[in-house]
Amino acid sequence: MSVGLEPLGLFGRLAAGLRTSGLRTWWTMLVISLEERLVYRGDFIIGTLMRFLPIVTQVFLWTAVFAATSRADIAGYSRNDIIAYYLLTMVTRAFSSMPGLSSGIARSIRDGSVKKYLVQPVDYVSFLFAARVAHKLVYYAVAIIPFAAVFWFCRGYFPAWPPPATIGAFAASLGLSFLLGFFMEVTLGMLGFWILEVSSIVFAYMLVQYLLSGHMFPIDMLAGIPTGLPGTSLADVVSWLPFQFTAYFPAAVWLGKVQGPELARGLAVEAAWVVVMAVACRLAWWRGTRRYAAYGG
Amino acid sequence: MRQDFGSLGENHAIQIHDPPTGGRHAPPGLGEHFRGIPAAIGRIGVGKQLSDVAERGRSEEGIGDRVEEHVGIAVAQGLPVVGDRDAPDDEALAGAEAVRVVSEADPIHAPVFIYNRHMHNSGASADSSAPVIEVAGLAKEYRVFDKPEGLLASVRGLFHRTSRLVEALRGVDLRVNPGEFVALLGPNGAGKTTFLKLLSGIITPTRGTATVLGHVPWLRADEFRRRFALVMGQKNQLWWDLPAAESFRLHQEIYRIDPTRFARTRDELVDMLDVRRLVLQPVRELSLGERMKLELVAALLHEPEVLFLDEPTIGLDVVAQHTIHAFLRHVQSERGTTVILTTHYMKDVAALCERVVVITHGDVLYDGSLAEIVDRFTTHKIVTLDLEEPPTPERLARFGFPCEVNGPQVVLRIERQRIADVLPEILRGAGVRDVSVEDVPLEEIVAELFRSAPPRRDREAVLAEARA
Amino acid sequence: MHRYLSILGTFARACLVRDMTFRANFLLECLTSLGWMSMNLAFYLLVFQFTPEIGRGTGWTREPFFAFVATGLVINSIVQALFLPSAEELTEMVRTGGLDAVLVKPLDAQFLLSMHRVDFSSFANGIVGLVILTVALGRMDYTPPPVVWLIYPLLVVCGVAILYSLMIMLAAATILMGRNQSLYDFWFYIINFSRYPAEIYAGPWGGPLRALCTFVIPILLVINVPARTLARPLTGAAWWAVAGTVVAAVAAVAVSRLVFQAALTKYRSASS
Repeated sequence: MSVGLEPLGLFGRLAAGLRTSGLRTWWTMLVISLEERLVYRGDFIIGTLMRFLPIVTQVFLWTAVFAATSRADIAGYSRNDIIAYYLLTMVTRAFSSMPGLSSGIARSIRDGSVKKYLVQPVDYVSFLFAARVAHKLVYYAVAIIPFAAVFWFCRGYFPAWPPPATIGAFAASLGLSFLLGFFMEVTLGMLGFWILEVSSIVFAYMLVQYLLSGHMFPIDMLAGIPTGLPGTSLADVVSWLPFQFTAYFPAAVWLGKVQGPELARGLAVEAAWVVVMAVACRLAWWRGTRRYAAYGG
Repeated sequence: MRQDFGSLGENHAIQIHDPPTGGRHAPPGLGEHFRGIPAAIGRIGVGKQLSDVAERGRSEEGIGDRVEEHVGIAVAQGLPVVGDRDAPDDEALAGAEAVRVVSEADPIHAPVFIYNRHMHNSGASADSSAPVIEVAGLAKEYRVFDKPEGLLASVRGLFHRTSRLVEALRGVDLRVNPGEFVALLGPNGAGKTTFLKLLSGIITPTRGTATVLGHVPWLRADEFRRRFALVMGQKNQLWWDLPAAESFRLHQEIYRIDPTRFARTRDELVDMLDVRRLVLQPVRELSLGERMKLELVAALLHEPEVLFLDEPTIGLDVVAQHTIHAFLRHVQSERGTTVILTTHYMKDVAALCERVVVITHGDVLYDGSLAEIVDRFTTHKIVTLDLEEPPTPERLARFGFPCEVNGPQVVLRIERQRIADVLPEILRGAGVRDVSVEDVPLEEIVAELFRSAPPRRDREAVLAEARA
Repeated sequence: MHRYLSILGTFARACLVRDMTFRANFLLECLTSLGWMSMNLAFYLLVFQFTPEIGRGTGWTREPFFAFVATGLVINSIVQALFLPSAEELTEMVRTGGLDAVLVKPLDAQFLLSMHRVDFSSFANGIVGLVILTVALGRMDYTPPPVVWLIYPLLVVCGVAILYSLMIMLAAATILMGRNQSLYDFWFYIINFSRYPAEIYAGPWGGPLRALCTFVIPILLVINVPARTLARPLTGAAWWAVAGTVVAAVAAVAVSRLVFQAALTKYRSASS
């Protein structure tokens, strides 16, 4: 099993996966997801709008924070910037969050239903990937309306449109954040081959992510916090970790807080992490299934 | 054989010879005033004092104690056992505390059935013949939104949804007397569970009235809720993670059961169903049958006057069903509890009740005894012939009735009025080794009833016919 | 009613036994809630690196603000321990028809449905909240007068009552709609508005929002009023706020009960 050129291998496998399970199956998956969403129509519209509610509180909070201080900006963010930042992190998280993915995998390992992927010619990871893509597309299709409404309503907080190169970088970082989120969660789920209660690890992961992904505040704000090492702040450390790419990075790119060489470095680090997690996930699958089969499942 | 037991006093016990039912069911006229132990308590010789009956009876497990209690009361009060009657006589009955019914066929060796006046003081209406449940024109409708099929419909469903009116119950009348055991029989979706939910106050009706034990159920008065119990098959009311004993204790607190009484009732019920060893295990570890038994115990802890059972035997194996049937029979006759049971199983009905209410499509199709269903709704009987050798086609043709052939066995369906004429003809033909004449199986009759229930407009005719 | 207390005791005991049986899970749950709480505390500490006060001239400097947060932790932990677990189960009960079993018991349905499950692990947050409260009070310049030690617990109870009433209204909505939409999500989204001092809701949008959350759905009274008695001197306006909160709590409980009873009469019951 080639473990080297993993991303390319993945896409090849994805294509193969699509071909075996069939484009038709994938389309059916899409349609069913859509119907599912629409059945709970009231739930869906309200649910999506509700997700923006915490931002309302954050808007007021930061306004109050700025009111009490004489600064024009905090860590390079004006008040409007911060609001725009939060809204953009919602977009990033719409790409990178994978609800139920790791717990679903852990569960199927625990109850044995993962076995069928050992014997069928369908590759489990590709299957999961295809399913997620379908879910996400459906989600975007229906969520675009409330999202657009909110963004239009809040357009006053945004600076002018960034240059095309920045928009391109933004799109690239979004795509990579989807992949990164996917592989991280799958790898976590695969830990179920070795550990019975994966939920404790997932919880720890979610906690760290909550703090370091930029979900709560822009990572730039950590720049003033020293670590033990000379010349590096907490923000520097975090910038090498994968967590920031699930919320902070694309938002910061759009707002122009990350420019030029830093931007390039950021994208490279993000891509590298994608590769690392994809490899980790493939390894976990390989070792895990071997162990699983050895124990009779 | 008759026996004189003494003079007729103010209060007395009387002995009745009742050949037709042999005491197995309370003779007509008796049922209203007396509750019985419809089980043999042993064979005694006529002429023995009832106290001797108690002696003998004690050897039969458990029943003996009961007998002693009832009979002992009569004897302790110095009541002589008096008189023989061929049929209950109002005057004699009026004063009798206990009634002993003996089959004339073999008075010496026949089983004896003891009936005593219902001792259980329920605190309900003093007039024990007033109906426990009275329902008039009860109906329940509700609006159901249609689930869209397909993608286009789902999108349209965002903006506009169609709905339709479901008539779960369409104006039902019912009257149940204390101590009756009534089965509500009907196919799935007929409305029996809705009916039960209305009677237990879980939902409110669209139209109509109902009173149970003098209360309007859906007002959910605490006073009312303390006097009945509801058991739903496959739905757990016990605490899931904890042993049943904890749930029992919670019941005691909720229903305010006196501790000594609670302990006694609990032990009695637990032993009757033989679940003592299960009581301390967490409920989630038990099988469906075991859980059901514990549910029944819990339901009866507060000695309810009315028991509602919603498909209690569904999903249970045959042995568990049988145990529960015996238990319900015993409890009902023992305590005079009024029991309403919904089911779509014929064997529940056959094992437990005299009275059946058939419900289909939200309407009562039939209300009466099980035996009468056969009379009323069948026109044929099933005649099974065991022939010496498989019949030839000519022979079959000669029968002239629709028949099924299984090797040397032929099953015929013959109209009831014609059986007497036709049967001798058939039997005269050589080669008949055995013959049996049976009613159409109850299951079939009832299934047919369910199937043939016509839509509302024509039902008037069927109902009129059934009531005739 | 002594009977209700004794039944509550039985429920609590049963839940405690269960939690102790699954001890590892219990500990994990304690850690989980402590974990989220620590993340939020870290965030607040970070914010105070950049500003001395939340809102100009509001008085919510760091120590008072942490007293505010601690009050929130205490109140929410009580609600999450005593009432929320039962409310979570309500959607499940409505779906499976378990509500039927509750309605036939001679016991107040609202009592049974809102209190039959106790989550002891949620008390962990409250305990930490009390610790933070003590520390913050110690460091504060202002010392509240002794009468506050009587008023504060009363206001905490009122806060719990208001949140309880909100929960009951959501429960009533669940019963009426008979759907699976999780009560839980709505709860946290609504509560979110009460997590910060009311003063932050200023301006053309903030003003009306503040009024809505004070007079219509009085969630802003829950944490703000008790916290303010610790951080500010008790002026006439403060006494009005105290009185108003008590009235609001009583009214909320009464109104929510009426709504709940009404919902029960319209209960549909899942088909068997």
